[in-house]
Amino acid sequence: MRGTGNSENNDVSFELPSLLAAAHELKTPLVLIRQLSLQLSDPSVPVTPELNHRLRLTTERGLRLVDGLTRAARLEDSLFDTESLEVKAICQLVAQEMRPLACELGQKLELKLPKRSLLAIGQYDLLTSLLVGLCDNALAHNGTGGQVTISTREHAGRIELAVRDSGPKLSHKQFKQLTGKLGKPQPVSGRPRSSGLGLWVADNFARSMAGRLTAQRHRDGGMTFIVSLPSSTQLSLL
Amino acid sequence: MNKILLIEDDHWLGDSYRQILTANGFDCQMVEGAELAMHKIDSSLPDLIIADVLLGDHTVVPLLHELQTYEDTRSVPVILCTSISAGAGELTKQLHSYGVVAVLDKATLTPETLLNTVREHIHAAAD
Repeated sequence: MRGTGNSENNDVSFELPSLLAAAHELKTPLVLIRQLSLQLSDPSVPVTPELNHRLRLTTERGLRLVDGLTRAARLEDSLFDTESLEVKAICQLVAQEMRPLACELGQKLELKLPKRSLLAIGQYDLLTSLLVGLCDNALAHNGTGGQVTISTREHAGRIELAVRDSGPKLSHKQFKQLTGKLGKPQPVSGRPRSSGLGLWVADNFARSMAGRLTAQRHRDGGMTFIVSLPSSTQLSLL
Repeated sequence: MNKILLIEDDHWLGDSYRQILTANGFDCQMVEGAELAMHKIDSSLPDLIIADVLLGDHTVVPLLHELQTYEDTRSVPVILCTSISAGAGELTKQLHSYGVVAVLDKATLTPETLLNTVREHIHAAAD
């Protein structure tokens, strides 16, 4: 997943996108929902099951964005218990949840999981939301025919969960902007077309579980976002 | 049948515009990026172009500039559809020399507005 020689890594320090940029990102699904509902009521265009399906999936995406933002804003005020999490099962669950959207967008979603169980310390809902958010982000940046791969491994005593996309290749400058090293994200786009809102939420979720989010760009195009969490030693006690 | 090239990187949104235009008698082809748009234009010159402003990793401006450098593409009217609604009138003025005849706000756009704007500018270009 990392340090393969044909990619560039970076620790991530995602900054809170400006209110304007965040509003723009939240506006995108709303504009689409409005357009699809106008199409539904247009007598000249036949209503297909696909149209209803797209309407539902877009609404769910919008809700996920709002939900993530709300949770991230409340993290500092809340206390939660961490637990041992079987990350393979979480990856499978997220893949199951995101496959209908990937399929409707003409993309593939694949899992690359080890045979043995991997236990991380974290919080179930936060980690699930974090991975769903990264998948949402990946699907949004891939074109039709793109691929998203979710993988996990143990590395240096920690558990890594990675979401790779096959989106457009980023320049070094774009990559630095995305990862916040050259200052604030661009006004409307962290990665082009994005405010970086989803990544800011994911970064906050990871930090709240004593984890960190890193990013990696690939020479053959696409990005990988990696969540690293403390490993649980629960299995070694058996 | 009038040919429209629709350039929109949000596939579902573009598909919705395409279905409305097709159902109302236009031959509408959709592409998701500026480079693919140039290939389409090279193979078949459209009567009108509808384009999003933010296209993947670029804005539409380099494409508009490219269109202005060729004799045959210079006169093709361009309608921009954007979510960056602030100053749409000002944007139309600024981009008029790039062939932009109208800027539509995606957040308030209706099928009627889309169809009326397309008809107005296709007919104006034909006259």
